[in-house]
Amino acid sequence: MSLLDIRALGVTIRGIPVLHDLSLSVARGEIVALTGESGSGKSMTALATIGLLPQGAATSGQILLDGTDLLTLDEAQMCARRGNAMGMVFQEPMTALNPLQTIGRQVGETLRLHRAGETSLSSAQADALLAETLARVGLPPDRVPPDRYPHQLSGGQRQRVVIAMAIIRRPALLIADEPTTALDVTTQARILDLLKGLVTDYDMGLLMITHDLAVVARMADRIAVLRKGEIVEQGAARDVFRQAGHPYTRALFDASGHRATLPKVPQRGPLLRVQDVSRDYPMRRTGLFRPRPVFQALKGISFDIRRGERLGLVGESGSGKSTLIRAILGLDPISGGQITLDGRPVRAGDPATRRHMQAVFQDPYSSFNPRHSVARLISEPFHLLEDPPTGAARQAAIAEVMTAVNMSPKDAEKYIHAFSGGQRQRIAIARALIIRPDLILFDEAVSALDVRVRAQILDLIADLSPRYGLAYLFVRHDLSVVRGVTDRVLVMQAGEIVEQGPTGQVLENPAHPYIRELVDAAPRLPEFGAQALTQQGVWDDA
Amino acid sequence: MWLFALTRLTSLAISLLVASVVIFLVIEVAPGDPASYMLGLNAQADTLAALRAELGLDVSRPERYVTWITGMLSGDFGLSYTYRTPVSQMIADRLWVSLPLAVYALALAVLIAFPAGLFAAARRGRAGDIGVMASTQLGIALPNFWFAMLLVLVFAIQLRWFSAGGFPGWESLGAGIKALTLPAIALALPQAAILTRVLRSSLLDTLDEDYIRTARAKGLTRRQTLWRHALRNAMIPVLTIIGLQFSFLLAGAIIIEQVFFLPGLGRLIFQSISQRDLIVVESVVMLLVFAVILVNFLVDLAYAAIDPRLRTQR
Repeated sequence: MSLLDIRALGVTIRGIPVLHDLSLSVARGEIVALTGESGSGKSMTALATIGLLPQGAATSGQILLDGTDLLTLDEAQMCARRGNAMGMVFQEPMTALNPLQTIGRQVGETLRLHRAGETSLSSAQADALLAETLARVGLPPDRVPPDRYPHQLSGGQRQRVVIAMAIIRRPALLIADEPTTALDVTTQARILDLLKGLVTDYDMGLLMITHDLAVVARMADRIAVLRKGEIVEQGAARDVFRQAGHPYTRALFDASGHRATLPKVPQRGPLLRVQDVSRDYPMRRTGLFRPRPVFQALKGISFDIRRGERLGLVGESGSGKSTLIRAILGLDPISGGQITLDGRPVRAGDPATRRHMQAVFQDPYSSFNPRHSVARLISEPFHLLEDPPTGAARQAAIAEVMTAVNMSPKDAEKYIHAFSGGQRQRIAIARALIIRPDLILFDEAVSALDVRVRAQILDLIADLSPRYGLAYLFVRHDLSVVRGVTDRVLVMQAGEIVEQGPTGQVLENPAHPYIRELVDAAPRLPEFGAQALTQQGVWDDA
Repeated sequence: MWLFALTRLTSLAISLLVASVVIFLVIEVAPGDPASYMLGLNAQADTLAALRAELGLDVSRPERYVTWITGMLSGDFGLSYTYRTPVSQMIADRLWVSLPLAVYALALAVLIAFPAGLFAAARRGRAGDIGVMASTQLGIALPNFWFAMLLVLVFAIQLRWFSAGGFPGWESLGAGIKALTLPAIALALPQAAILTRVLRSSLLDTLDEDYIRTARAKGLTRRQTLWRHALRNAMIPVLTIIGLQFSFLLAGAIIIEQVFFLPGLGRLIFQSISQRDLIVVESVVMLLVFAVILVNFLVDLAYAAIDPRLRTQR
C-alpha cells in the first residue's frame, strides 16, 4: 500500500478551480517529483496535503496518508499530524525561519509540540535527539551551535534548519516545495544529496515539487507533470525521460535545454572598458578605537566588452556580480580603477553615458510602477535624450519597440498588471531598447520565468542583438542558460574574475577548479532516448 | 548588547546637548521681554534695568546659557519671574501629578489594546474583528475631552463614584489614584484605540510571513502561532507607538487637566507662556525633551532585547 495516496483531488479557491481530478501516490522510500510551470497547481497540491490551503479553499476527493483520509480530519487532528507524520520544507529559506528565535529552539519546538503525552522521552533524550538531527542535516552543534539566530546562517544552512524541523519526528512523508530554487548550484547539489540520503536512511516518502526538470532527473523515481491543475503525464522517471508521451511534457523538456541560435556577428572595437575596478565596503568596527575593517567586494576587475559582443557573467551569490553591475551602471561609486563607455568615464547620474547603456532586471513583477501605462513606462528612458521625440514620433518609437519584442503596439495603452511574467519581461526589454543603446545589462533577467517563456525570451535576446547592433552582458548565477546566449563568459568568485574565455571552451574544459565544481554541481537534463541516458550516466543501473 | 547600549547612550547625551542649545535660542529670540511684561507699559527705564539685572537678563547670551545649564545640572532651575519661587519646586509639584497620570493612562491603554488587538487579529475579517475595528475608529475620532465630560457626567454627577475634579495630593495613595482614574481613562481611550489598530495590523503583517507557515507546518495551531511566533515579532511598531504616546501623555494632557482641574505640567506650561515666565517655559520644555529622549533610549533598548539582529555585531 502506498504511504500517500491522493485520489481524484479537486481544489477550488473561492469557486475558481485550481486542481482537477488529481491522483498521485508516494510509497515509503520513494521520491516522486511533481513538476509543471508556475500556476499549474504544484504548491496547491502540497498545501492541500498538509492541510494549509489558503482561506476560501474547498476540496473534493481523498488524500489518504497511511489509510486515513486527511480531508475528513478536523484541525486538531491535522495539527497532530503536521510535523509529526508529515513534514514540509519550503522554498524560501531566507524567510522560512522566525528571525527572533534561535535555530535550536525552532527545531526543538517540533519535538516539544508532539512530545506531549509521550513520557518516555526525557529532556536529556530530547536534547540528544535535537543534536543528532542537527548533525544529520549537516549542522553539527560544535560547528553551528544551536543558539545561533537565523540571520547568522547562510541560505543553505537555513534550508538545513528547515529540513531538520521537518524530519526531527521522523515523519513517514516529507513534502519539499521547490527546496533548492533559491540556492546556488553547489549548495543546491548538497541539499539534494541530503534529501536523497534522508529518504534512504529513514525510509521516508518524498513528494518533491520543482519546476526544474534537471533537478527532477537527478532526484526522482517517479514523475508527475502538472498543467493547469491536471496531471498530463505520470510514470517512472526513466520512462518519462526516455519518451515523453504528452506533447506538453516534450515542450517542457525542449524548452529546458533550449539554446538560442547565435548568428556570427562582426566584433568591432571595445565599447565598455572595465579597468582594475575595486569596490570596498567599510565594515563595523571591532573595537571602539580600532580602524574599520574593509570588505573587498571587487578586487581589481578588468575586462572589455566589444561592440556587438555577447558576454556572460557567472558566479554564485556573494561573488560580487551585483556590485559590479551597480558599478558599471554608475549606481554605486567605485573605490579604485576606471570604467569607460566608448571612451567616456561612467559617472553616477551622467545621462551621456547612460544613454548608451540600459539594464533589464530579474523581477518582472516589482520593477514597474503599476500606476503608469506601458507606453509611459517604456518611454521613460527618453528623459536621457537631449531632444526626446514627441507626438507622433514618440508613438512611432513606442510601437516600433513593442513590435520588436513581439508584442502588439496596442498593448502600450494597458497597465502592467494585465500582463504575464514573460510579457512583462518583454516590456522591460522594450524599455531598454527604446533609446537604441549600445549595451544592455541583463541581470538575472530570465531567472523568474518558466522554462518555455525563458526559451522565448532567450531567443528574443539572441535575435535583437544583431538587429540593433547591440552588445550585452548576461548575468546569471548558473551556467546552463549562459551557454545558449553568449559568445564569451567571465566567471567570478569572491570579487575576482577566476576564468574567462569562449563560452563553450570554459564550460567544457574548465581550467579553474571552482568552475569544474560549478559545472559538476549543476544538475543536467538528460537527452531523450535510452542510449543518451546511459551514456550520460544519469541512470547507471539501466 | 553593551556596546549597543553605550552607543545609544552617547547619542542620548549629544541629543540633549543639541536640544538645550536649540531651546535656549528659540526662547531667547521669542518676542517679549519678561521684565517689561512684569512691570507693565508705564515702567520707568531705571526700574526696568534694575529688574533685568535682578533676573540675570543683563549679561550676554552665552553667559546666560552656561548659567542656565550648570544650574539645571545641579538641580537649580532658577526662580520663576512671575511667582519668585524656585522653578524646580514648581515643576516637581506638577510632575507628581503629570507623571503618575501619564503612566496610569498608558498602562490602561496597553491593558485595553493588547487583548483587543490579539482578539481582532485572531479573527481577521470576521465579526469580532470588524466590531473591534469599528470601536477603535470611534475611539480615534472622538476627542478625549468628550470622553472626559461623559465620564464626569456618568461617574461623578450621576453615580457619584468619583469626584468631578481636583487633586487631593498623595498623602493618601488611594485618594490620589482615585482622583486620577477618570482623567486616566479619558486619556487612555483614544490611545488604546490607536494602539489596538497598530498591534492588529502589525500582527496581521507578521501572520503573513513565511515563518508563520513554517510554524503551522510543524503542527502548531493558529492560536499557538499567534502567541509564540507572531506576537513578539509584531512588537517593534507597537513599542514605537507606546514611546510616542508616553511623551504625548506627559505634556499633552492640558485639556484633560483643565476639565478635571488637575495641577499638571500642561497647565503650568500654558500659564508660563501667557505670563512670559520664560525661565519656567525653558525648564519645562527641557525636562520634556529629556523625557522624550530617555523614552526613546528605553524603546531602543527594548528593540534590541526583542530582535537579535539589532544587537549582534557583524
